Order: sequence, then C-alpha cells, then structure tokens
Amino acid sequence: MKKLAARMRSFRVRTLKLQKRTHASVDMDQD
Amino acid sequence: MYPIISGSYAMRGTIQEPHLVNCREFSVTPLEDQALAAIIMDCDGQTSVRELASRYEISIDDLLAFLNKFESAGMIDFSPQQIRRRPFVALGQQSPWLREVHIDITNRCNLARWCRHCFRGDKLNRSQDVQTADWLRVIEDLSAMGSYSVAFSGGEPTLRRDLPQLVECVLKHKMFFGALFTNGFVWSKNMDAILSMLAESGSKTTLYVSLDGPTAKLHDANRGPGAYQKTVAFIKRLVAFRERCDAKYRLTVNSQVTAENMHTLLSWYDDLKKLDIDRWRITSGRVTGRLAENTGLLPSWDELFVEYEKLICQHIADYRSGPTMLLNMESFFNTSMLNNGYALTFSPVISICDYKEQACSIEPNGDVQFCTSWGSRNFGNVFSTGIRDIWHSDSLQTLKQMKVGQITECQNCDLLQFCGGGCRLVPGDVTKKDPTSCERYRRFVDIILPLLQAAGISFYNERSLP
Repeated sequence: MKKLAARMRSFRVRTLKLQKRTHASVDMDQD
Repeated sequence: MYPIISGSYAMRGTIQEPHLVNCREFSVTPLEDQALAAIIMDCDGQTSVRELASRYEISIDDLLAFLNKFESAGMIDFSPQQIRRRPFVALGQQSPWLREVHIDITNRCNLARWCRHCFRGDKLNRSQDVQTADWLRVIEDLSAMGSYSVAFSGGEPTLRRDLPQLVECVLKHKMFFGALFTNGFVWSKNMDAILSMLAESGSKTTLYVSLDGPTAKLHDANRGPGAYQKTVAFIKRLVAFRERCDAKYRLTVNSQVTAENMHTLLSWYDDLKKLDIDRWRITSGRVTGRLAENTGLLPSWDELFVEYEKLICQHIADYRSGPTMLLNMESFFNTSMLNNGYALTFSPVISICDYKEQACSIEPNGDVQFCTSWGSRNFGNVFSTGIRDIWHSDSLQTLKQMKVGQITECQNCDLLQFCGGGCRLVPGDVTKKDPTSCERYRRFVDIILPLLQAAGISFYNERSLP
C-alpha cells in the first residue's frame, strides 16, 4: 500500500452521481 | 489554522464505507481510504493543522494540499481560531450502508374513500398511528447507523400534528430530508412550520404534490369535489412561499396516468409549466391496491405510448429552447439524461433495482419493506426487531444484492439491458419475468429509444462507458 502522504496527494474529491438508468426510480430527481 | 467539516456537511455511512454527505441536498462523497477518512474526522475545529500533521506524521504542506481539495468543494472550512461547533460524524458498524429510508409515517388519509388508484387500497384509516416518540426513536436509530436521506409519506403525512417535530428531528441529526409526499388537499399550520424549517435550513427537499388531471373534472373524479381547486391553490402557495422566503425546496407534481387523463398529457404539460414547478413525474403505476380493482383506469399500452411519444418530442423541443420544467416519465426517462448526454443500461452483474440497493421503506406500523411498492413482503418490524437487524438480515440482503443475471427467465431477452428485469414484485417468483415491464419496455425500445438517441443520448453499461 502506498504511503499516506502519497495517497493524500493522489486522492480526488469525487461526488457520486446517481446513475440514471433506463429503469430507474421515478423518485430520482436529484440532478 | 483549525480545519473543521463544514456546517452543511456530515460524515455518514459505515466504518468500512465513510462518506462526506451534504445535509442540504443529495450529494455523497466517498472516502474510500479509511486512514484518509480518519484525518477528515479529526477536522473538528479544535485541532490545528500543525497538530494534525504531527499526529499523522505527514508534512504540513501535504496535509494542506489534501484539505484544500475539500475546502474548494465546500466540505472543509478553515478557522483562524478554535471553534466550539462539533462536526457531525455518524458511522454504522457494519456494511452495507443503509443510505436512504422512505417512511410512511401515517396510515390516515383524508381522501381514503376517493383515489381509485391508491396502492394502499383499503388499508387506510384502519389502524392507530404509532406515537411520536416511536418515530423519533426510529429516526435516531437511523442516524446512529449512518443513514443519510429520509423521506416521509403515508397515508397523508401532513395529517400528523407532530410532522414538524419529525422533520426537525431529521434536520437536527444532519440527515438530508429528501422528500415529503402530499395530496395537497389541506394547507394546515403544519405546512407553515415545515416550510419555515426548510427555508431556514436551506434544504433542497422535494415536495411531491399529487395531481390527477389538468381539469377539475378529471382530478375531482378521483379526489372528490373541489379537490382540484384546493390542490392547485396549494401548489401556488408553495411556489409563492419559496419565492418570498428564498427557500430551496423543489416542487414536483406527481401524476398517475390513466385511461381517463392520458389524452390530455400535452395540454396538461403546458399548464404545469405555467405553475413554475420544477418537475412533473408521471407513471402508469403498479397494478396493486385499488388499481387492481379499478382496471378500467389502466391505459392501453399502445394508446399510452402514442401520447408519451408526443410528450417526449415536445419536452425535447422545450429543452433545446432553454430552461424548462423537468420531466420523469415512468421509470425510463428523466430530463437529466438530456443534461448528461447518456444513460446507463443494465448488465447481468448489476443489482435488481440498483437505485434501491441501499434503501428500504418502513410502513405506517413499522414493517420494513424492500421498497414502497413491495407491500406483500415484510422483513421485520422496526419497533420489535429494530432497523439495524432487519437491514442486515439475510432475507433482505439476499434480495437487495440479487443480480439482474439471476432473473433466469429473462436471460436471453434483448429488452433486459433496458428494463433490468422490471419490478421483482410483479411476477411473485423473483426469477420470473415481469410481464408489465415487457409491455412497457418493448414500446420504449420501439418508440421512445429512437427519439432519445436522435436527441443525442447515448446508452451504455458500465463496461462500455467511454
């Protein structure tokens, strides 16, 4: 495993998108 | 400098899967590396950057570069002095994460003798509501196990006089109050209290109001005399309050498409645009509850898709000409597909109803279900067993983690990539096909899909995503 400092440098803040599928919840209105 | 998790964020999830979550809108950021998550958790406004760097044996430059990534996303603040506010951290002991819960907080409904499509059917108004303290304890239990988003429905949830107290509890625990569903028939003091809370918190909660047609004749036939006028006035009041108080909540009109109203969809769509709502959500629904008794309401598939085709064409034209009301059509179209330029299809390794893989619903009596639609199967009662044990039970998790490829009857079907097997409730046997989904998606592929492709939407599964 990479050292902590290296992992901190390579970390990207990635916000999950709710994936819109062709069969998705009709409640999924967070765009 | 003293870093602290921003006031609009909390750390939620499980110990194995911690996330920074936005308490005001649905936004989830995974912190896949537990050591990195520990650093974020230590951003408590009490510990300086220098102390943190020393604690984790890293350079101040590395730490600042790391924390700056969160600061620029609004998730971490830096304070020149120590601050007393404690960041909110709630992580469950065990994965999988129960991310979202839909709670039907009451079995009472003021329109119970009307709505001919109601999925609760004759169950309404048959039992006493559970006490305030019981629901508050459930919300606290959910918070403690790291759950994030909570929605309230019923029955008619605004009939509960303690509704503001329940909403306040969700907000106080820094969970996201995702949605409130109402028939918009009576504006009570509850609504004033809830809207004030939403305005003050800046929460982008979606308020869903049911409307069954664009005219009093159509809506009142299903909701009773005078209902249309009341509900439209209710929606206008929500719009006016939002503007006056600069509140951030979202407004969605929720409509059941029936044989009676399906030929009005285009004019209805135009009327709703004038109401200044955010979204229209239309569905022909599952044939359960009263709809199973009132089959005359069911539209013919062929006629319905002629109307859907016209509506999608109009919506795409509107979308191209500028900002417009958003549209959810059945489970297969959402305006965000146009925003994104793509939508995902299913492969055999995707979970059935993957959008509900980390969610469940709780009935008015505390019974836990797979989702709100799947009323025939109970996985335990939150008041006797507790939500934690029910959520992690084999019986619920086996279904939650069932894969599309396990629907044996559908394995060689060309529609499977689009329908994902439809609803597992319908066939009774979870490995069999859902015939209503076959009807819906055959027409989706023939009629709607070419329109969406022509509008620039590409369809991928995770493997083929460029």
